[in-house]
Amino acid sequence: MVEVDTTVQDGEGRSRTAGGFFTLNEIALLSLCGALVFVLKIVLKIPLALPGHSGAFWVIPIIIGVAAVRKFGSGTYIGLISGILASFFGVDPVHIFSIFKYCAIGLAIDLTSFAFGYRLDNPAVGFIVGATGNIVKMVVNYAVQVFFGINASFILLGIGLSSVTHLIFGGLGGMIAAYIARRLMRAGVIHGDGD
Amino acid sequence: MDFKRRILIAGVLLAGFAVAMILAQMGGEFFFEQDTSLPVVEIKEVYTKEDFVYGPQAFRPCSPPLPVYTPAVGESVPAGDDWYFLVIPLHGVPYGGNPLLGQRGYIKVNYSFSGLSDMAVFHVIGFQDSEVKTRTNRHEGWGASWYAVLGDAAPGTSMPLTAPMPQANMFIMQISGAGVPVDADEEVVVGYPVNFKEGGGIDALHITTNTKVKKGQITRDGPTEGAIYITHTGGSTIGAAALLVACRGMQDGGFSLAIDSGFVKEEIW
Repeated sequence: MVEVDTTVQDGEGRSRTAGGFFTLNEIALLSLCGALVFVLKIVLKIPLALPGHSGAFWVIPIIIGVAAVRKFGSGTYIGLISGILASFFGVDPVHIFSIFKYCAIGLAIDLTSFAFGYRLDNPAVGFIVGATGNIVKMVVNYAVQVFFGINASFILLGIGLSSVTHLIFGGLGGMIAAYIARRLMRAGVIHGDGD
Repeated sequence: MDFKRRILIAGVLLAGFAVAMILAQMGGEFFFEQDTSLPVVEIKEVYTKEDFVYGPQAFRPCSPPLPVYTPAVGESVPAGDDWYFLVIPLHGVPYGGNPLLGQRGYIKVNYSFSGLSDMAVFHVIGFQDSEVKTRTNRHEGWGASWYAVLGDAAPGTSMPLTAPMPQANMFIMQISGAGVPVDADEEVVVGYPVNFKEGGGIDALHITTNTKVKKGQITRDGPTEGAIYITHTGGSTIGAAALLVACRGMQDGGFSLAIDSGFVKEEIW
């Protein structure tokens, strides 16, 4: 029986399984990032009393994962993994609907990263990508709550402050991620723009 | 489009979104003012049998639901563990967080039962206004606090037409006495949105008889007239707080509960 090597080289010299979008290494990396999002959500409890403050740290693994892989869909994949973990462990009151929330974050980060050519080592881009991800999470969260029957007027009465804090904390997390991504690129751990 | 312009446009869009949401909130505060509970709800001073809004049931809201009362070792419990609930809004909310962010203080509640049969248990429930999250007092373990009052009146034979609370986590909690229209032109149904984080929300609010003991304590034999204190040790602020008063079994027509609550400042420095 003849064994067929299905591994091919992509344009950047990285190996990938023929027919697959992500290489095995990329899937492993993205899965670890997804797990890290879940772990950060569980472990880091900061009594800041401001909505969306947790976004300051859990957007970091998503952005770094996207910066490392630089393929559309990598953020969504990280979101899917973290959403599945959050659903299984029941960390959110919305249970299975967590998947929508986390996937939406990943998709938003994918779209914004794509729009900026994956220049995620730039702090301004990091801020925009992180803030967008955190705000999309807030919007999906509210949508799920409305779906469950929470009076929309209650949500409306807190959405102004919530939007501002989600934007700021998500942006701060994105800037931290950009700084880390830049250091990783300089160290040659991940590919930067033009590599 | 060059890179800088893309960043500028994205920044403007994000800022625009935030501004739009602030305007939406301001508009909501203007248009939905009558739907928000605390600013418009009429807080009664004396609650009667007609004000019970939930029951019969053996749990109180949380995720998962918590018991209403746990008997002491050797204590006999009536066959039917049926509790009827009053939901009584409090004047003010307790705050025990960073004194630089808010005035620290607790809520003093003076209560007086008349015609109480068997037992009533006080619990507290708090609602955040910035996020739809709910807090209540822990029932068991370290930091557990609740307050039971023993009555000696004869039990009643009927109760108002009430239904148990939904065991589902998300629902609008009706307030005792809120059926009374607060606006002469419009009947307004007011309530608190209940949404507990799974296994959470039970370590911020407490019921205590000693304000030095912030985490509170369990009291099983409180008098029919006295005072309790609602304290807060959480990081998140509470937007509104209410007492859940659960009475075991049916009450007679002579039942009444007088409640007087108010915020008491704590001087830190």
